[in-house]
Amino acid sequence: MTDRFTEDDVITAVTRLTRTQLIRFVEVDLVRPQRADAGYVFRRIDIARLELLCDLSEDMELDEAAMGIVISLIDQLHAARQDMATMARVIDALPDDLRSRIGTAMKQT
Amino acid sequence: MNTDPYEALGLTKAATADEIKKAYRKLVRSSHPDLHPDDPGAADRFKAISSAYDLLKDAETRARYDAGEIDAQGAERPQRQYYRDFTDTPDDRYQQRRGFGQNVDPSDIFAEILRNRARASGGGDFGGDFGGSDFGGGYASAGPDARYTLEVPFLDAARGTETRITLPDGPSLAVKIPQGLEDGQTLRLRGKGAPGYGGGPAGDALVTVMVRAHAVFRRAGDDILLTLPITFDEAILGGKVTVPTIDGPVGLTIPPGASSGRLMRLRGRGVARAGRKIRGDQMVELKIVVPKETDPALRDFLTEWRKTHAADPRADLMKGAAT
Repeated sequence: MTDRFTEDDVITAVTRLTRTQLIRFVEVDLVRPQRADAGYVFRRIDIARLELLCDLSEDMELDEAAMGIVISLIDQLHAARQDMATMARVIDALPDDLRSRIGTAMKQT
Repeated sequence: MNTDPYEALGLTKAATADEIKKAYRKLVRSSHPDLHPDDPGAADRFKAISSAYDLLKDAETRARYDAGEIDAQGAERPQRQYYRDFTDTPDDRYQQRRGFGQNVDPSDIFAEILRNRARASGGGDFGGDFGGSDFGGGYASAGPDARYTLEVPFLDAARGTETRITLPDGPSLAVKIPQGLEDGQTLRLRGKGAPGYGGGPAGDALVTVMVRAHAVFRRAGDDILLTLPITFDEAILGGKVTVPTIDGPVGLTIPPGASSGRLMRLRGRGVARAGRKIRGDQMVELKIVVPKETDPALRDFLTEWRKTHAADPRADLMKGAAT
């Protein structure tokens, strides 16, 4: 499956999205496609993000400012989750005695 | 999925449109997979409530469902990938932290929010509210948005114009219609809404624009469609004709032997749009129009001609067509 989409591809894929809206979302930095000579290049993550933006703007009737806040919080949530997963993996790979010491320390807090 | 859409939203058939919207929004808050990335059941729940809402939000489909004409199946959404499925990809451009090792200041979170907001409103105008005495002082907040609808003629929407809306309470509001405006598009006029509270900025005016249909031109994206009547002699012999476009008449050469339904492209005669280099095209569909009164000499000629030139354009009509 290809992971490069043009502006037209994106409008076809995200049926609720108009071209005007898409351009606006890019303008206000809610989506960040790559710039190429022939226009924007979108990835699958951008399409999924646009679906989410459509949910927020259409179904929930959020305006741009509110969308900026919500999407920023969601991005931070994902960053925090990823940090946690990294830590869990690191702890998991530690020697047994260290892991049990961490476990004890966690119970104390 | 054939569950009762009312049940999926926790409602009864007596629910009003407003109650349906409220119930849906409440469920989105608790079930949208992107708002609950660690909840494995969220995708299924969200799918159920959003197909229920798809069916019930539209008064017409809701009435058809209530009358038993369509079942809940009709509104099922296709599979979709959620944003949360991508957020652990290594090149995620939306990541808002630079990993461990660097001190992330919590105030960056607010800086990001303010940055987005300042950009959304055209930049810069947010600094004043926070730099001055408003910060930490009294309560200041932006005024509510005002919503209007406006109907504009087809050509004004295609070419762009300036117009005014007269507000119910007297004054009028200048609205710039951008070139290539689409039907149903909403224009945001910064600061033209209700006044702010406690010195806050005024809200915006949101103007939803309806484009009136045109008797001759139709629009498909940036292309203009037009059906052009031609005479049968122009169809057979070809010729130069004049075609109206949204920017005035232009000449078009009809090739000899043109049939009804043939599409001719007038490149760059469609809708231009701000920020884009390429204009749309005008597509001209030819339509042969035969005179009501047939000239006797022509009739005689064709009667003779038919005897020696029997060709049936319908001979292959059904060939290869599925039975």
